[in-house]
Amino acid sequence: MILPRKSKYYVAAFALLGTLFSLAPLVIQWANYTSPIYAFENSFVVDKFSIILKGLFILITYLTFLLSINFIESDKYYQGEYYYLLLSSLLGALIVSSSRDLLTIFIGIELASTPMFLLSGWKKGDRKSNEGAIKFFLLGVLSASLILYGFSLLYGLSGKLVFSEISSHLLSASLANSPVVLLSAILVISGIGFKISVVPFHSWAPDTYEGAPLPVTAYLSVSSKATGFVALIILLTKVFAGSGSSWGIILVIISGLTMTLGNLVALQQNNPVRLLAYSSISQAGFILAPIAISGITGDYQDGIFASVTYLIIYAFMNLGAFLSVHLFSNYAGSTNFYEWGGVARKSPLAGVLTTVFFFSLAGIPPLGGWFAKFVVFRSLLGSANSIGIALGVVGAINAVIALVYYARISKVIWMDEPKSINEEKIFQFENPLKVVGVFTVLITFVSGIFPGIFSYLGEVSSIFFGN
Amino acid sequence: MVNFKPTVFAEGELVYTDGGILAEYAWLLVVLPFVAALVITFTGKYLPLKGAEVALTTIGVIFLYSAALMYLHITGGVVNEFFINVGSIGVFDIEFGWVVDGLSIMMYFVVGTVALLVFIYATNYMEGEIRYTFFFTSLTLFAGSMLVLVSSPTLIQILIGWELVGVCSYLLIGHYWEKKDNSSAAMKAFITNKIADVGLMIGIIILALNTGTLRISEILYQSTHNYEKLSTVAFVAAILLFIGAMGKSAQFPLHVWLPDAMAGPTPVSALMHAATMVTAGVYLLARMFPFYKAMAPEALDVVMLFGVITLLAAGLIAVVQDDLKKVLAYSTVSQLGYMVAAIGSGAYTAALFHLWTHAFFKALLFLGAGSVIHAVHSNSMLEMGGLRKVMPKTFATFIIGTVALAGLPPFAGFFSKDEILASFNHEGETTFFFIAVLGAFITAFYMTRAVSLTFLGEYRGHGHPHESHNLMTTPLLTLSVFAIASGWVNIPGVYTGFTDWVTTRKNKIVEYHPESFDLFALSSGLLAGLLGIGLGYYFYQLQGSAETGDDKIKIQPIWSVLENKYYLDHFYFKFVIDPVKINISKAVDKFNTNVIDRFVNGFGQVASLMGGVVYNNFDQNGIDKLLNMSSTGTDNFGGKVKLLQTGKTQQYLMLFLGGVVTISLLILFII
Amino acid sequence: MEIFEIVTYFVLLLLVSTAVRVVTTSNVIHAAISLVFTLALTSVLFLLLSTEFVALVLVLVYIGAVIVLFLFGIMITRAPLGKNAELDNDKNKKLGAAIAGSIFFLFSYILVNGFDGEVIITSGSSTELLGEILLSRFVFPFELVSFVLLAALIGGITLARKDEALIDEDQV
Repeated sequence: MILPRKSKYYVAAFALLGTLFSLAPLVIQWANYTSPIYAFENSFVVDKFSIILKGLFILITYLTFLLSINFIESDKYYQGEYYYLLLSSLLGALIVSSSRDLLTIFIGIELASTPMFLLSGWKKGDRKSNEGAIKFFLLGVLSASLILYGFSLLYGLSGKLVFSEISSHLLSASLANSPVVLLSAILVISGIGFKISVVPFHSWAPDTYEGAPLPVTAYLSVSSKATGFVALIILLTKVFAGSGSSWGIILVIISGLTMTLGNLVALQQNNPVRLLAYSSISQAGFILAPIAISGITGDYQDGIFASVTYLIIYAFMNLGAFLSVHLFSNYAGSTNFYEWGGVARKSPLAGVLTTVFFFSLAGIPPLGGWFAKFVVFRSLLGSANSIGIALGVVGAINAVIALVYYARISKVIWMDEPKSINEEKIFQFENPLKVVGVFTVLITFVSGIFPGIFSYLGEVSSIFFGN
Repeated sequence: MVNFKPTVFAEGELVYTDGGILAEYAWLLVVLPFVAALVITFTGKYLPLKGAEVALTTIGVIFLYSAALMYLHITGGVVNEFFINVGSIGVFDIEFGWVVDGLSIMMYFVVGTVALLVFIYATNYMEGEIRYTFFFTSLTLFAGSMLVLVSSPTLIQILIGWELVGVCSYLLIGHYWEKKDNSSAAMKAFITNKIADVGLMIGIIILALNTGTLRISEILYQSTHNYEKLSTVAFVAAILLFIGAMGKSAQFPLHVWLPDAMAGPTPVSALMHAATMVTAGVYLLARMFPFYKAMAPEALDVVMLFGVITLLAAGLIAVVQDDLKKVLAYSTVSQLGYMVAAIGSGAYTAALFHLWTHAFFKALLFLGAGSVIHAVHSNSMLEMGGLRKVMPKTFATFIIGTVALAGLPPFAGFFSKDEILASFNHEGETTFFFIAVLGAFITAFYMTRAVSLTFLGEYRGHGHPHESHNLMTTPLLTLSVFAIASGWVNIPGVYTGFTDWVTTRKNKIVEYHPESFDLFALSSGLLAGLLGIGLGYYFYQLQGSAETGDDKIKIQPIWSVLENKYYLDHFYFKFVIDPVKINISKAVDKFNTNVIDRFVNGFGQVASLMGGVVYNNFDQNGIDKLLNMSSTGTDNFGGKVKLLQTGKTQQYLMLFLGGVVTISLLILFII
Repeated sequence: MEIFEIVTYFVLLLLVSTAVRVVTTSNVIHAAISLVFTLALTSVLFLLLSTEFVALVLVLVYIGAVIVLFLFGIMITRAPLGKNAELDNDKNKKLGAAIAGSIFFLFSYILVNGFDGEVIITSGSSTELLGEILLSRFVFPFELVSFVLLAALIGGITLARKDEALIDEDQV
């Protein structure tokens, strides 16, 4: 920020390098890992679960930076501030994955989301951006206050802040299913439900996604969502583990509604960003499903494994999908994808990438998305629980519906009559974006063909829940 | 990671060879097409034949390899499987691999042979068409995906091959994507298959969860050894797998995509209808046959019922089609019905035998039709006629294919159809037996009709058609040899090698093999075929209908029922579309025809209409409406047009808090 | 003890009525002033619970700084000062009231049932202890808060800055 404007280029480079280097401590931690390390009186932990998620968050942020470079420069945004805010949000996400007490996790959640309120309004002259940001902010404040209210009830009951102490107090006083604890759980679920945009707390998402700068939208739909899920997983399994049967039911209903509503509404969209917004709402339903069922069956390990696997694969393919949308809407200059007829012919590479990402989102093997769906269905059907199987059927129907709109985009860009193609116009596909595309596509393929790389997650989730 | 240690065993009394180095390197069959596809993509445009030579070489190697395997198998009997572990999730391992046994070798050979001939044919047929190179990439991928499927020793690989075949068919059917209808047909095929795929996926997960493994041979072993845990879910799993098979093998009512898939280039139709894609469902049922037989015999009854319905229903529709390729398409659906019904009746070998013969003569018929269409530039039989004089080679080979399909001895179809009829008769399924005989009659009838309208009489089209290039007629001639002789490998009482080929598997197949010809089945089948040909010839040649179309023999109202595909369109229209439509008040005539045909489009449309209702009434304006209802005074809509819609933000907040209240009430007081 | 209870109920009643006034008035200035009262009464409530530090923070930060900023903001941006009809949203009022009411009854039902008769904290808080614990046991979250504030600060300034500045700087 203090650098003169001409050398703003270095800011991006510095941010990129810094992010990349921050992976190093993680690698060292992973290599030297023996058992979970606690700090600040059990309120902060370094275990394999948190290391993996931190790696995920850092990678996502790195890719978001790459996405941003050209975008930010082309539109004359404030660069230094932009990178600072994204990095703050990353810090929040990192803290969430390690925190084990109410105070730290709340501040982590807020640190992750506060910069996003500001970034979503980054296109200052654009009324849509302002509108989306205001909505996001107001609802975000409500969600934060709900989470805080829920926490205060817990603190009031137990007088403790650290998760393990709270849950043992709740168990010993057999309060796990008392109305106050349930209310607290509902408030926490609602508050975090906003972050992960599940029905009925999703209403902000399409407006905000549409208004925000595209890299920010990508970050919102991937990293913010992941942060929310991580916070939710930690809170539900570490604090509210005893009342699983109650919140399980609620989450099952939310998950089913989210999948269905997100999908049905996505069918109606012609704006690709809104389409992705609703599709990511629907995907959130899928991610939520295994956790929901694990609440009912009590098999948290399996639920965490399935949800986190889905989350990781989703993160990369969705980033890729946003990259595709960015490329094509930039070229076609239209926010109605029905007008993108035949644009893939201008840049077959971008066309192929797009097809891969959208097919992966639809769950077509051998792309990563199918494995994610497979794991979720396995978890649902394997619960041997009628509710789980019912949710599995709902999910199956939704998987088919989703194909309609995912395949539609790739159909349009390849097969439809070229209208907006201008032979003169050059298809912009800058190198940083190519890196993002290739990286995400590699992960999408590798995770589909060698799903074995996720097998350690099973072990990790067992450690996570065992400690 | 690669488990190269062969696991040779047999449940039966025979001990087979492990296939040696040829089996060990059978993975080449699967990998080569994908490598070739990559090579074509990147270098195709710079090669002299635009990439076709790479595709041809690859498929040639595959053909030779499969022929070598076939030889090895016929002489020794090969059973082996190989696994590559790519990791595990939870309790079971994710493994890919390849299986080399009678069933898969038979499929390798069919895919290799038919694909090779189709590729040769396509080099000429597609000459000068757009995206020539891309076409060969997709076609190679298509064959490769089918090989992924048939070489699969685990259910997970089957699932992957299954979807890959679907994706490739999407590319190929939509090849002429500049025409809107074609890309819609591609979407429809893709989505219908996806519906079935989800069924398959759930079935596979259920099986895997209850057996603890994804290896097919182990699941089958467990099913024949009465594992308790498996038996409880067997019926559900069997039906779900069958739903998957229905999608790929175009069984009623999921057959709707297949006739539309005619939109693709003819070589694609030939490959798809003969060797790849549609045989996948039958292959899956055959692969899982011991499981069905031992664990879910009730499911087999369901399978048989659907098969019989399909064979009759599709056969009848074929009679009234005017598009030559559509006749063949419905004929394929009908013949697939035979195969599925045969599996359902427990006649494993008979079904596969029919798959084997059908692959050759149906490929022949499609390529012949392609040759005709190439010459007259029309699909409609009303614009053909009299082509026997100008296209003698095509005519002769088409006749061979027709006779083989109609089931006259000594052509291939006779033996396979007879075996199916014989096993129906043996199982005591009298009703189904007669329906199948009726089906044979109909088959002969519509094929004679097609031949009459296309080749006999006088030419009614435009221009001057001439015989196709040698590159197109040579595959036709080669396939006619197969269409004649491929049935001779399984003649009851003479030589039953085919039975041994396909029953040579890790898991023993329990079924009935006819020792000698069942004279009753044989004579009724033959009679039906002759009668069909005779009647067809009488109506369409002697009565002169070949000149005038169907007018003279149209029997109302049967004809109109068939032409409207059983009015299922109207049924769907009245009970599915109308109720939705009234709400949206959309144009009616869009759905006037072909609704069952457009079931998938319908599915998409219904879903998107629902989406519209949800979007407009609940998601965006729901609270508005609620408020309008609750407010009594005048509404100030001025706030609505303001750019910053504060009203909407308030509504979002209320939705949010309303959600919290609802959830709380639900959890605290109801559950 | 009776007087203590009476005072508490009286304060609570006032608190609720001023809070309702904040959201029902159609005059922005009135809303801000009502908010001052609401916060002041909350602070009194904290004093009654003998948590003097929180009470003081409320007065200093919210009444002293935040509300004053609100008022400045309203005046600087030349927003209409008098009654503003657009703030009256009859449509939203009824449903909003219904939802707020149900939340109120729901929460109070649960809280009264859950905490009735329970003495949660017996002794008042010590400001000294609070300061000490904040910089030892809770130093980590305490430091993190500074990041949140810094992010908000930087973002706020960036968004509020005039865009012309950006263009000028570029031309230099």
